[in-house]
Amino acid sequence: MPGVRRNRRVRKTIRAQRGSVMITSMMDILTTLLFFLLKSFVSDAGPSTPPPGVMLPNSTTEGQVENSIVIAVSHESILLGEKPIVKVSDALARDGIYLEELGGSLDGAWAQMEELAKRAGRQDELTAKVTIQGDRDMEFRVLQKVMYTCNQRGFDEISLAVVQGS
Amino acid sequence: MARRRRKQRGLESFEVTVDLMPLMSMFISIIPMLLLSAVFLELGAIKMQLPSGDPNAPLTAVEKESLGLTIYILDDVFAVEGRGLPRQAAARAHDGVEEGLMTMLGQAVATHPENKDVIIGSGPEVRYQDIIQVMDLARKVGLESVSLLGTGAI
Repeated sequence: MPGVRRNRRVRKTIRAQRGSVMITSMMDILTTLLFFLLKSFVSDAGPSTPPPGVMLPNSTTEGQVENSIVIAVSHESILLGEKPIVKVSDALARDGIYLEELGGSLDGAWAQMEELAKRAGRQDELTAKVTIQGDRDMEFRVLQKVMYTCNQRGFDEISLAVVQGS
Repeated sequence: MARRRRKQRGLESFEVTVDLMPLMSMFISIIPMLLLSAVFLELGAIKMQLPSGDPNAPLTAVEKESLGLTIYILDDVFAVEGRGLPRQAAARAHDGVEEGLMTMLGQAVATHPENKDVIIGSGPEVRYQDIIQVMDLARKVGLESVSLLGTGAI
């Protein structure tokens, strides 16, 4: 019996000496970080992230990005949301400054927004706003065609998206 | 006494600890994914108001009386003009420090401090970044309402 007791004592000592990492504090850090990241995702839910390949120009403006229809202009194409509407080269090759494909897509997007606002009972809050996320190297004639098309479809409030503070 | 001690020992052996490792593994997977897809750029917007009426309509009395301060961005030159202002030009530095344009705009603002409007006329191939930079300069001297002029006018 004394031998058994000794064995138990030895096992207990070994168990006590076996090192264990305290992960509780690490869990606290990770949980805080996770909540912070999720919060920033929720607050950035507006039209803030430009699509890949679009480098926005720098500006000292303090104006904030608002929720609106987003038109992005990359080197290759003009996109409504994330959907390519017309190639930049095709848009430039045309004589006129009105882009029919973009105009049609804007009408479709507006109809969808109207439908959603109607369901939510927020028709009064609906305004014809567009944010243009143009690449910094885009030529003015492309911007002019996009802005003219927006204006022709009734979108009078246009915002130009920029990277702040440089 | 001995039984009580054994009981106490028995209780000690049933100590419950939550195994946080799976939760931690999940967090370690989620956080890099969120960090990768997060945008760390601070984005802003320059608001522009476009005319909703007929572009060929005659000018209103207010428009006729306004200074009509206009900045033209050409390939190597900035030109500034307005009603009652002499047309001035300055070479473009292309390095972000456009001293010539700042001087011309400063003079226009000094002579007409009530004016807050400026029109930017740009050549068809002028870079978007250059137009934004001119807008920033105009705002810096107090011209807060910016309009863009079409290519055909230049």
